[in-house]
Amino acid sequence: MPRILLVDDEPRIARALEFALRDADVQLASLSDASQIDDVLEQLRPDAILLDIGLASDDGLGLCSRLKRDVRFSEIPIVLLSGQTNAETKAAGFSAGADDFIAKPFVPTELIARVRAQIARRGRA
Amino acid sequence: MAKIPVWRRPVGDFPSLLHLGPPVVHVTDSLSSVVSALAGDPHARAVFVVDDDDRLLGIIPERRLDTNLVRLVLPQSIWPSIGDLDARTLLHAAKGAPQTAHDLMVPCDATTPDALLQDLLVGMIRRGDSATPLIDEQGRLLGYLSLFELLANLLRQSDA
Repeated sequence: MPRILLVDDEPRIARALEFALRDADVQLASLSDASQIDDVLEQLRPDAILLDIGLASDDGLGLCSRLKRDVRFSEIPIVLLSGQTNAETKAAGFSAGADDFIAKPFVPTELIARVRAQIARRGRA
Repeated sequence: MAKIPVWRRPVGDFPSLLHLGPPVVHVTDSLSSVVSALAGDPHARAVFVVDDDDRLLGIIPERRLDTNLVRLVLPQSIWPSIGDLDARTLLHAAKGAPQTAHDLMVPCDATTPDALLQDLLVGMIRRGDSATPLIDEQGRLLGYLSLFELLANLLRQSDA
């Protein structure tokens, strides 16, 4: 079963995803404090990361870029979540190394399909 | 065993019709925060208002924001020439200018994942709602459902 780590400081998103993915055959873990992400990634070894760009405690794009430069985590697909749907934000996300971009609000069926596609592409699960 | 008709199935059975992470503001947020939230997802046609515990308090329909934005942006001399907006509404809005989401929001009916699709649709059509918030057992916002998408989905199923 694929393991997905959600990094989002809004508990609303984690709660909604837990509800929506309850029958999706994935294991969802959530992290609200991005400062702990290195430890969590080492322990959880997720197959994909869902990362909110608009983290209050950290710059989501900066975090994405840092993880992609870190050899320990660079192979983990990162799917960005953002309420900003303009082309500049999406371009900045891909420039930061993101593998995909999903605009909020999102339909859970599409989100899980995109995450599964990224995992399959990397042959991770 | 007989198959349960789609009408009699619970809303939670249709994850492809749920919109998660909708535009949300806190009840004390400003008008500009409300406008920014809706700008991020104009398809929702409304902004959802929550309290400190994320419980749904009401919604701010797009139309209500339109009126307040017109009042803010357009010079008063132009108001009478706007055909489909009532100038008296604008004047009234100017007198009691809303400052927060609380001033703008209206009560709304929400649905829960275990509600039957039939009951949801009948309620939305009766009330004229284009979108209905989805809440959990504690009244916390999960997302929303669109009447158009629900009906379009049912049409696709009946065509298949």
